[in-house]
Amino acid sequence: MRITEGMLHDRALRDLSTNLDALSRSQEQVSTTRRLNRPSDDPAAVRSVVNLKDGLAEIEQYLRNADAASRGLSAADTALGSAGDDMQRVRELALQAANGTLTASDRATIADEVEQLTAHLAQLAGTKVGDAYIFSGFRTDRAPYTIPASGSAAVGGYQGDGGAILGRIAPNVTMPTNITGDVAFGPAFAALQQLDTELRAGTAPSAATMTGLDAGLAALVAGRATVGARANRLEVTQSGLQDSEVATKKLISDLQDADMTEVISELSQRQTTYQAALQVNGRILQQSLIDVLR
Amino acid sequence: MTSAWFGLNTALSALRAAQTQLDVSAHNTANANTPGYSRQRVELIAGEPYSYPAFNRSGLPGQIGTGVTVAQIQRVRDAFLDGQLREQLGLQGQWQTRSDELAKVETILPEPASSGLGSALSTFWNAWQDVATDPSSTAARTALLEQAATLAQRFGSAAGQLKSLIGGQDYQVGQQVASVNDLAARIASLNAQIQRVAVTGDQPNDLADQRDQLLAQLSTILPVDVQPQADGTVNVLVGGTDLVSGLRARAVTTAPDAVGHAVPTWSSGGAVELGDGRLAQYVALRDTVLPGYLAQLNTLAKGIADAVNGLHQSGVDESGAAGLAFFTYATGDEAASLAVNAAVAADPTKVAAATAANQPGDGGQAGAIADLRSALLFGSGTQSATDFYAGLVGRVGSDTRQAADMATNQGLVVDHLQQLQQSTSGVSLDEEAADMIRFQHAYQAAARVITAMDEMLDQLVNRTGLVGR
Repeated sequence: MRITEGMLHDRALRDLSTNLDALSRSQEQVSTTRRLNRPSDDPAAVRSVVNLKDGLAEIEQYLRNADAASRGLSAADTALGSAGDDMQRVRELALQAANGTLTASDRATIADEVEQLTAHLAQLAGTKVGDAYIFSGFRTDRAPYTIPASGSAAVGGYQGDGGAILGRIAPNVTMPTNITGDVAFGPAFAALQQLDTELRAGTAPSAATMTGLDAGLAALVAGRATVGARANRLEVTQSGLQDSEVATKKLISDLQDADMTEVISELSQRQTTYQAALQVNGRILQQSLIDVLR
Repeated sequence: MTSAWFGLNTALSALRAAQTQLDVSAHNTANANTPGYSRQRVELIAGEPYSYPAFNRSGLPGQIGTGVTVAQIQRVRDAFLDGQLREQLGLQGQWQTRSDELAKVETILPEPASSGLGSALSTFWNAWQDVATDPSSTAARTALLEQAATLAQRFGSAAGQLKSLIGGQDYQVGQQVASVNDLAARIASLNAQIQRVAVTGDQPNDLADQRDQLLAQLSTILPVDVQPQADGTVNVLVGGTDLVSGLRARAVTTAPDAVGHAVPTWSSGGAVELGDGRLAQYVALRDTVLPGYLAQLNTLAKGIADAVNGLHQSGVDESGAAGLAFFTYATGDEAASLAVNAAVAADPTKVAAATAANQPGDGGQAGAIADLRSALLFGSGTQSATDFYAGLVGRVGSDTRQAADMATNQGLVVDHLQQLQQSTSGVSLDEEAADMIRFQHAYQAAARVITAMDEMLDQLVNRTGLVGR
């Protein structure tokens, strides 16, 4: 084949430009630390990454949802725990009041404490997370029970509804994150009011009242047990979500991130190639017969 | 017997031939870097010998040569290679254009970077979940409205950029048509010049080079059929219609189609058959490829908006009223016109998160809307919004990849042919330098012959017949 200077020149330019192009791609991968910088870099992988990234965002959202549910459950647990303690104290007071030697004024003193405990219980039923009452069902804007006026144990009727607030904690998995006040606190308030009425009348608590108090305590304990069971389930779900989060991140990283060791060694290899090409072409292009002729 | 002066003429012809060769070599050297230039060679033939056989022949022992004649100056060119190259240039023009233009589409869908539509979509669904978790929170509702506005804005900007890219293709169609007319006119005018030169029997080498260069340029835009004529002119046919016929060029104009886009049309009527080339590619991108992407964006925007609206309207807002449409859009132009309903955007309490009135803690409807994330709304119930979007991104990616690969491959084919052409027609400075020495020596030798003749004649004229003087 006949070779002309123009051909050498064109070929040198084209080869240098090919080298430079490869060098710039390596450089881009090193500086972005990504293998995928645009859809055409690997269309199938980019397609997967778009889906996986949405999956990751979804998992992260479920984790946030679970955190919120867990805040609500832990507030409910604390409230129900101290409500249980209050009821224990009420039972002790009721047993004390059943003692036949007590006078009416003694029983009135006990009634004072029962009323205070009732008020505290009503406060606990009105526990809020953020702006929302957690024991009012969907009526998160209203306290479930009114706090009784002094000298009374009347908390009024349940102000909330039976709404179960569902937390989204995994794809297609919801879990009720609240228990309603009428179920957890209702029996206790009924018994408390009954007890208060009897004490104010100066009589010993009736057997029905004692049974009612036991039922009230049992409802609080049962509520707390439900909350605890849900918190456990939530924890299991959370750790599952965290595992998927890590796995998804790894999948995305495997598809999207550049293998830095490989890319950097590729970069330096291409640099060397480019320099060699520059030097060789520089030397060859300088020469011509004209240089030798006198 | 020949005259004593006979040899002088022979040597003179050698001087002239060497000088012509040196002139042509100088011309080659001067044009070593001229694009499209073909090296030229002086074709020499031995002069007509003396004398012809005849009745009263001169009585010489045989024919004697009369020197050298410059027959013609020819360019070294392979016409077959030109034809091949023109064909491949059209394909290269086509793929390179496609690759360059699709690379712009990729910047409109900047995946997998987090500034793309995909992440806006994820954030949008997440914002609905936040509202579902805490429906009474104004902050969550406001955040949702902001994310929804971001999503609508990403749709709008992607659609807007695609539309302006489509407009750009239309502009390019006009530009390419103008180039075709310009090139055709210049080819016709070169035809005229070449015809004038060819009539005298000379070789219009440099003019032919220029014409070949223009034909190569033209073939990147349109596939052309070049038909050389006996008078040195070429006819250029496009899809069977003569664009250039001898000294005349037929004008190409544009006629608007149904949407006002320019369609290349012959001035004499009828659409131009575009075949492969840049012009055909701009038309295809404008009429098929880019509108296809835009239609998918519209489908996605409409699908999401309709599904969200449907659920939102069956929900209940904070005041207990039924939900309004969450998104608004113009039918047929969904992606570009997508917006959050102004009434909802202005008032976060209008987000219908609840399933019934008087349930401020109920985010059930917001949750149902958030669950649309995995609802199979697209591809006849096979794809979620993200699947559909990822499919679009994948398609743009593989289209771009294919175009870039084809452009690279086609570039190699064209490079190879250009190398072959260079190998045949390119000027080699080494060759010219060597030739220069050869021609210089030939000139010197001829001059020496004249000197020898001169001395011989001097001997005869000035020093003969002087015996004894």
